Amino acid sequence: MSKPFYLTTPIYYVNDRPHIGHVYTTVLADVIARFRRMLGEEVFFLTGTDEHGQKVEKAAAARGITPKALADEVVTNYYDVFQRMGFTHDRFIRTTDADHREVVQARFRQLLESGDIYKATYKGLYSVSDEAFVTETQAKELQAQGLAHQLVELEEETYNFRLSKYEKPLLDFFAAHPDFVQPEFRFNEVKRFVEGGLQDLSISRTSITWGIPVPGDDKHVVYVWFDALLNYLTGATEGVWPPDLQIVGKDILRFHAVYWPAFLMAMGLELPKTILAHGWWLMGQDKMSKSKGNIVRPDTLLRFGNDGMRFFFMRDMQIGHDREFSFEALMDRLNADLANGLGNLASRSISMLQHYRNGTWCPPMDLISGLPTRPPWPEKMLTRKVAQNGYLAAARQHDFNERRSRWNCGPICAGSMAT
Amino acid sequence: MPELAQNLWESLGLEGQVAARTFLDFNPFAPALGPVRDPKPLFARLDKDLEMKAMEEAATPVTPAAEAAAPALDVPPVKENIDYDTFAKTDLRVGLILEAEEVPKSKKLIKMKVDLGFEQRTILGGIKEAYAPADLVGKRVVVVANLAPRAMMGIESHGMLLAASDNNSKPYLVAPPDDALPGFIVK
Repeated sequence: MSKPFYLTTPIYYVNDRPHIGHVYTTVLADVIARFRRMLGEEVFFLTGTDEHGQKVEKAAAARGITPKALADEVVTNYYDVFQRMGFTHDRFIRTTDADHREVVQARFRQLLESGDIYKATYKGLYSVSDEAFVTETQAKELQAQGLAHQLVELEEETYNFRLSKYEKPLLDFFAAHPDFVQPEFRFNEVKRFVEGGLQDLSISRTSITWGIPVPGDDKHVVYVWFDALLNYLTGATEGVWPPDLQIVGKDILRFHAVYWPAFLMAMGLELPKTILAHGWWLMGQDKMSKSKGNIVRPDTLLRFGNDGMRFFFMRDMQIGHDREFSFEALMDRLNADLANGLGNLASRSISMLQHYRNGTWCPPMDLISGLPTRPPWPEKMLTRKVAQNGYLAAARQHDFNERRSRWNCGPICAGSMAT
Repeated sequence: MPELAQNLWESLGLEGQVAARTFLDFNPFAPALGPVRDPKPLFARLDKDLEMKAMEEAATPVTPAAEAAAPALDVPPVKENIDYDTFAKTDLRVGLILEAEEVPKSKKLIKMKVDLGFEQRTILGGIKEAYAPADLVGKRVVVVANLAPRAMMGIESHGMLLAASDNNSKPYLVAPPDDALPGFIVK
């Protein structure tokens, strides 16, 4: 018996209520989880919330409540939406969960003892909105792109992770695992980033208090990304490690494809099989964002039904690429493929079964023999093609019905409904 | 598509939850399945115009950051003049919100307990899109104290809170200063 298929979404930051971005990522994961289970595989599906860090601390202070109270309030929105959308995750992890705190502190201590974490003084440009130090090149890029990142110069005593030591091991690993990052063009970006050289990474903060304290040195809290990434470790039940598929947005790929595997190498743990970076739903060529006020919320998506939303996401988004979101396109798609196409096909087929076969039926032979025991995805990430193919199969069946309706066919079973 | 699949599953005369089944459960050589049932519609056709309109109405007004230009004021012309006695019939009082909670199943309403100094009232306000219940508690408001009681969503509301808005904006509750006592007359 092979191990369960371990599938993760990123954990979602609780400084915002859920929106289409969170929903899309989780739908994608849920569709893969459900499909794998239909193939008879065991699946362990993890999602959750990222609750520490400066933005949460600030938002809570602005409202005069504790960060934990803010997180407790926002997380209920996620519970509510995820339940209404029928997501089938096996655990919803919160980085404020007690077991997670233990894992983070234990792993921090482990790396401190092995020398992969060391104390230093760090001075550099810090992006407040990303909660990360940036290199000068990155700072220039950000400014040139006009992204509203607030860059400040910051100096602090810090614990560093010896990321530079893993430059070569990472490149070797990438070379040996051509499917580690999907899609391929994203993998190339990751490789170029690592080839550009890796500096040691600051993984503690003294400027904030809302986080997991560094073991034995309470004035530091663990850097939110070290904290957040380790959720995948905390959340893994016995026997599911390593992750088979980790779904992330393209904006957080670097953390998942560079820092995360380096942390795991340092911890002596097996690396994830595949990191899948998806693109963004755009509104008028812009990424959706709170400050631009162009966010599509779950309530709006659910107007089209759980099924409608899922079908549109899978059918119209090519995984890895960006796509313009439009309600027009969504409704056209659902009307054409679900209300007309599949809806008519189903009602027609069932009437024919009633008419010609006394309402009995047999599973069509070729549908079953044609099923891959091991699907070509997610390794090649073809859900859009799968949605298209599923629809093509429906269209073939429709043609078949058209022809068949002119004949009075006999009650033959196995294989007779094959096209 | 879990709901659509379950619908189809039942129409095909199958039992239980389709989500709990795998492809391996199907045996093409097994005895015939069924009988099928009269199909229920799988997916209702969407009327694009109606949907777009409904969404516009349902959209929460977003207040983007300060960089957005102030939208143009959208208000009807001023109503015709009234004499003072007509206005004086309206009894406006300062109220203090003691409790606030959402009205279940209502998109707009919040139920509040308001202290008017001489008594406490239950008042419903259509301000859910603009205020969270927790933020309302402790706020001072202006109450139309002699408005006839009226039931909404099965709850009797006695009085009304004054709020400012134009046709596009969310409501802004009119707030007396913190040292105005509950029960003070507003005129």
